[in-house]
Amino acid sequence: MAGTYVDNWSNRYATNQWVWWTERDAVGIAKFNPNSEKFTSPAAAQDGKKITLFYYKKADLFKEPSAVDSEGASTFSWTATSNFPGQFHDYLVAKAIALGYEKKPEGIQLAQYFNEKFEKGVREGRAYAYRARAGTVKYVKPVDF
Amino acid sequence: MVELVQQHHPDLGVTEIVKMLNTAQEEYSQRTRMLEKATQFDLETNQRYYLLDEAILEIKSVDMEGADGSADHVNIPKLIGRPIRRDLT
Repeated sequence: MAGTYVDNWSNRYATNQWVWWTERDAVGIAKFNPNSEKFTSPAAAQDGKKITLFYYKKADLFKEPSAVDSEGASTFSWTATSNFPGQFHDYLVAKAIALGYEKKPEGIQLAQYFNEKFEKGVREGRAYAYRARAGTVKYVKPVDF
Repeated sequence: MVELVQQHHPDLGVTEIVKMLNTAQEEYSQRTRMLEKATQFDLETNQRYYLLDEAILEIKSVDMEGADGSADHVNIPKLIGRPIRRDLT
């Protein structure tokens, strides 16, 4: 693994570079030297340097009726909305309805129907996330006349 | 949203419906990877590990404030695998 390459951080050729990885619910950040396979933790020169994490997040959960804030006031809201764009809210409702029907023996078929609706929502949601609101790529199939 | 579920399940309590909506939200977040965000923290001397918030599903990339006092934030690569020699700092 010997060799040199451009270290993004210092923007010059180097034999070691800053890397990140995840372990034990934490992100590890250290300078890695591939020649010695040695990792060095941030030193005084890096103290206070900003690290920016870009990540996929979980949706904020809805508050239950029993939830209260520090002053004892209820934080539950009938009009609370999800973090997901509005066009996907119906699929979340479909999943919740399916979960309700799964608890009733006579509701299994209805549960399947609403679960399928949710699965459709997952496919649409993945496509939406993949396009990242930059528009879709349209493929025009050539036709031979 | 609670009321929409109640139309199908008038026998269920609000707390139970909220729990089911939250289950749906968690599964939807996990499977679609639709919600993205960024957060910042400071490096500290001799500290290698920084705890991740519970809301983080998966890290996409990591930027580090540039060397020599530069305000630029540059992308640093992800290590493939884990360090051979570990420490817990």
